[in-house]
Amino acid sequence: MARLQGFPSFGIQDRVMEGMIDFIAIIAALRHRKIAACLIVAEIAVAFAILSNALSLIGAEVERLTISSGTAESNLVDLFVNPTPGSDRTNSEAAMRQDVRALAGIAGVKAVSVLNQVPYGGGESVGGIDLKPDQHRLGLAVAMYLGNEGAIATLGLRLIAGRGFRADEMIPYSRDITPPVAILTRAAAMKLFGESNAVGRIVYHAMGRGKMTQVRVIGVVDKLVWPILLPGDTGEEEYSIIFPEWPSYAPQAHYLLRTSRAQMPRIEREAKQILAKSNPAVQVRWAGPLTELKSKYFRQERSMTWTLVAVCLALLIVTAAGIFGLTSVWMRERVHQIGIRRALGATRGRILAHYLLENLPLAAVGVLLGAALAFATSTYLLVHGYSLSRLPAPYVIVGAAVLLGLNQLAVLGPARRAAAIAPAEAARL
Amino acid sequence: MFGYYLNLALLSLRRNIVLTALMIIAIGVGIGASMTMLTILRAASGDPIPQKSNRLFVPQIDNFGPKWNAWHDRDYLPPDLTYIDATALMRAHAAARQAAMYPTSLSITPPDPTRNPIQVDARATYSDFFPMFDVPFKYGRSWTQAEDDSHASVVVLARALNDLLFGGVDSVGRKLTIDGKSYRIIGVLDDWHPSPRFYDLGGQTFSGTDQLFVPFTRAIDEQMATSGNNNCNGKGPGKGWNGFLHSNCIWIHFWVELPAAGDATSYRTFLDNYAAEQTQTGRFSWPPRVALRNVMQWLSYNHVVPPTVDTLTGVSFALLLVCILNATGLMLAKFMTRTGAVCVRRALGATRPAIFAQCLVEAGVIGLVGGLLGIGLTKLGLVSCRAVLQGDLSVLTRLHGSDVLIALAVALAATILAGLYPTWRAARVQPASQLKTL
Repeated sequence: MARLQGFPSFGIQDRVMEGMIDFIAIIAALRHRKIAACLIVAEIAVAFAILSNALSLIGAEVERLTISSGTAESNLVDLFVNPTPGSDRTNSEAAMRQDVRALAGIAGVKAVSVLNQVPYGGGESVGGIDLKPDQHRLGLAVAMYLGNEGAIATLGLRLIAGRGFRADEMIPYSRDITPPVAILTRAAAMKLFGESNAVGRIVYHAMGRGKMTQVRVIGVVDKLVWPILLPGDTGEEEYSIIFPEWPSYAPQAHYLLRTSRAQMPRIEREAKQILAKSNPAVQVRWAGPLTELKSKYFRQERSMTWTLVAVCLALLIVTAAGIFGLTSVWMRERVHQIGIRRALGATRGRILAHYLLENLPLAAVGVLLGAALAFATSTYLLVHGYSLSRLPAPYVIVGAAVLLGLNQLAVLGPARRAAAIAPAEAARL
Repeated sequence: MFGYYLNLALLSLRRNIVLTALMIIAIGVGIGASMTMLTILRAASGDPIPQKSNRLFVPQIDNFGPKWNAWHDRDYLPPDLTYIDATALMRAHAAARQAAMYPTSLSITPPDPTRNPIQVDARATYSDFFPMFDVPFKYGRSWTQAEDDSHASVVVLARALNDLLFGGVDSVGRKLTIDGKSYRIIGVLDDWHPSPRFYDLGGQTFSGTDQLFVPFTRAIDEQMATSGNNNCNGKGPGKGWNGFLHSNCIWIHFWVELPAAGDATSYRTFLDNYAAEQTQTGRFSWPPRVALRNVMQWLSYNHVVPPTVDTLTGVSFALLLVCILNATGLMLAKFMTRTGAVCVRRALGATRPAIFAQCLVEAGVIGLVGGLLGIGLTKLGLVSCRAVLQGDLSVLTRLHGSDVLIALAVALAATILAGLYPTWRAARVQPASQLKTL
């Protein structure tokens, strides 16, 4: 065979034959190190199973972190108020109007609105609305937002049908009376009316004590999520209704100020001072940009993501260490053999290529086994409620690429050392 | 012989520092991850009151009916009671000890006039609360049933609040202004942080503490609103405080102590009869449904252990498996480099078991050092996990002394397990095969 002459060969045919011979040699050599080969396959398989599932979990958390509420989140400052203890706890539309006017006077504030709840704010007010005035039916569960007439504009909600509220449609806070008009979110309108236009249609609001009030839909906004977002929400968190009703200070109310990011710290300070002076009957429990409220709300998701990332890194480091260790010892065992090959004319490059490719069949088998294990694990997680969906294919592919790459990186060091062995080693017995 | 093996082990480990370091890292990481999650899991699912957790029960009554319960699972029962039911159960006194309770938020005017009023988390409850939950007192006493009945204006402070307001001295007998009214302090608690706070799972389950306790009867008189969950289905409450009290809104937690063995069954019967009575009088228009759960059943029913804890525990055990696998590989590699030395020893007369023992000692050294590294990583892990879990759970993530021993034991076991095959391989080497090449 051409190999034994030791002359470098540039022909493609020869290269292919070289490769094939190498490949056969590699597979044959596996016979002698069965257990070690199995170990490498097992290491890669288990690492792959964990990695792909961890990546999928990270993906789910990131999806939650990047949820959009439908409002102009990055331009809103939230003042979370409730009645000062000992103060008169009845509601005061007049006081709220005055507060809104005073807050709107702050330089840099483009709009002010008051609501009973905000996305990421917790404290949920939920009600049921239905197409028929039948109190025995389970209606659609919607988050009930009460806001003044400027709420739609202040929040930056996108009106996709109908109109916003007029000032004369506002009613004072009442437990017994529902406003005759309301605005739905797109998701709620679709759920109730399908593709047909919701504007002008009637829904019934369950008031309690068997009473159902008629409410006419005058507008539809694109999106407004619930104040509380649970994992596993399958779109239900987008069913909301907005009523033109002044909220009550108890248990909580929110003043939302639309402004630009740069001015938020100053505006927050001034707003707290103004409220303290103009309305001592309420206290500011919390104030800050809505994005800060959001990041507080998702603190757990964020931390979970970082933990999983740390686990993946640890996994990769330990697996690389294992492969590196095993491979470098094999190299050392075959110094003699490599020396002979070099003496017979194999170039450094060929030795390097050979040993770089050596682990590849093992890694490939490991990845295949690992994929099966990964899907089995993901099904287990799904069945026991720890995750919400089966492992998506992209994570499997990314995981495979990462592990194969890791394997190559781990054998690179030992392979280079092998290539550096001088032919004279063959002479050392 | 052990000392000799130890020497050999240390020499051998030093000879190939890189491999040794890799093995120690592998074991350390695996131990670190698993111990971190085990500590957290134990904190999250432990029994908060082990001495009597099977004698404390929560009664549940279906006061909403199947129409409203359809929103939930089939077996759902409302977690709290209405005012009507809670006071009826208190009056019936069918349990050895019993207490209705609800959380409220109160404004306290500190004795120091230069300080602003502060808002505290308080609990309105009955006198039995304290003996039922073995609450320790530092000064004074809890109120008596007579004081419950007379709606006395007394309070019990938690230790932290007493430290804040009075500098930690014995404040029994002093007056405290709460929501503008005057109350007499009759007791101060010692440190008491049951975790989870099983008697009120709303809000901060693991770190929420009640700063102040006031008699339920007094709280109702003063119309102290609940700061906990309040659920009014269907018929909303009528007007005002009275309307609220007579509505079917659920907002009151109820706990009973049933010390004797058969008490639970008889209390359950009592609950059935009570609910049946409500159906008969027309207050409920559905068949009676009740439940009685003890502490651990109650915690499990409420899914107190967050699913993230479960997921992370599984992930960390998987990581431990990976680490053991890699440690096995590395140990195999390590011992393969030493066949020469092993053969010399065998040729000089060492038996196979002796070689085996020596390799195990080597594995043991790695295990110990890896375990120490693992403990360090566990501390690091717990610190970073404070952020992972809701701020709630993080107060419990402390490493106990026993955990250190457990971590070392697990590290040792894992390393020896990982080293079994490599050790066996090393001992099996034929001396003659290697001696020729030396």
